[in-house]
Amino acid sequence: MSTLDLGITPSQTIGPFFRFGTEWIANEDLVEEGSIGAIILKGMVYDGAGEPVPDAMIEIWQADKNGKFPPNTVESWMGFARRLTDSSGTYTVRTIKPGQVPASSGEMQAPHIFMVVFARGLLKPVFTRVYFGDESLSNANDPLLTAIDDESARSTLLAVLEGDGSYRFDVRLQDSPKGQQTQFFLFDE
Amino acid sequence: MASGIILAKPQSEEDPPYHYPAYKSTALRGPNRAPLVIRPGETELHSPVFGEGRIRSNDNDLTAQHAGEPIGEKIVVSGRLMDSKGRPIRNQLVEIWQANSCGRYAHALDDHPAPLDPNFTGGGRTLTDGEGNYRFTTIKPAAYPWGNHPNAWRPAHIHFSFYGTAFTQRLITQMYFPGDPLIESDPIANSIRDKKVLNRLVSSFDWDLTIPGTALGYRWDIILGGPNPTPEAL
Ligand SMILES: [Fe+2]
Repeated sequence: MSTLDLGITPSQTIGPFFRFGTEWIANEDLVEEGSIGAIILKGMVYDGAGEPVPDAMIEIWQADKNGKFPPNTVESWMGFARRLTDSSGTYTVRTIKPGQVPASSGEMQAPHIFMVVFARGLLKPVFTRVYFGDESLSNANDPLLTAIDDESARSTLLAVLEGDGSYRFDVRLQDSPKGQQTQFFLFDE
Repeated sequence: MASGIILAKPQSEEDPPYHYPAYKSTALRGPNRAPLVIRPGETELHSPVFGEGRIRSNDNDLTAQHAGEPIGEKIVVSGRLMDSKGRPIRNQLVEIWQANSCGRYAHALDDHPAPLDPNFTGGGRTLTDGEGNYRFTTIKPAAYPWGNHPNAWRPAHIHFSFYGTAFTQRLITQMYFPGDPLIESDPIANSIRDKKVLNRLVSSFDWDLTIPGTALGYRWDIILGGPNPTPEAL
């Protein structure tokens, strides 16, 4: 019924004291250590002074290696992880590179992970996408990355392959001495 | 921009802004560069399935997690989780966390000198049923002071976390209690500038939810925004 358009429940901050309510699921990885294709995604959350944010909650959500989501994937595939940043503002999660999934236009997108960050001082969350810096070919054809004209904003969306084989993706809530603010997104309804 | 993935659309005026000076912590944490409004892709239009196996039967009774009964006013909080068209969001995770009946959190960094209750941790979770309904049994949390400004007090509230059928519907918010005089002076509540929208966070007292001789009842329904889910996800 088009007449039924209900008022959306608004957002409020997660506050500082959420650990005892949210940590029950905050230690699971997406894949086990030693799994084929396992990668480590890690990074830090920084505020506008360039200080680490030790009380953020990060969630990631992604397709499996074939670009599928539950329930259309193997049962063990959760596709989701939650992390509470530690006292140094760091998060670490073991996952795999997701397969490619289409944009709303039907065009294939480069592999990416969806990320949401909550924190005290954020009255609503920030949403971003984690792309992989070593996927230059698919990144060069990604409908979103190619639509962002600002090169420095685009580069905030790329996880950097480190010497130890892990991918580093920092979240900068504002411009700071640690770099330009991460590009965040809202979604058309 | 041939694909039209980025849209020139203003943000919703209903949600709080990232910057709200009366809530001091927004100054260094709220983004200054505007988010891009984009059309969601397949990832954003799907959402995790948490499943029965992760939730224990008493995880939605915060008064039954310890050997003894917690101190305070026992309450039932129940309601329905829906999308913007009023369709129920079924079998989805709902989590809560809250202060105890003295206004103290079971968190190492809460330095409010109100007593901890050894029989109350204050975290709970459940899955919505086939009609989108959730239900918690808990203790009514108390107001607590905080350092935002002189004599600042948070109104009594329960923190709630929701998922929809699309990850773009993800919501964390706070439920308030009807008639609380502290709501009017609370910067976090009033970051929602339209009183009619703020009122959506205030539960209503509901005789039908009371348990005679045991618990009072509060009803609170939730409407998740965000894009309509894909037919596949329904
Ligand atoms: Fe709180």
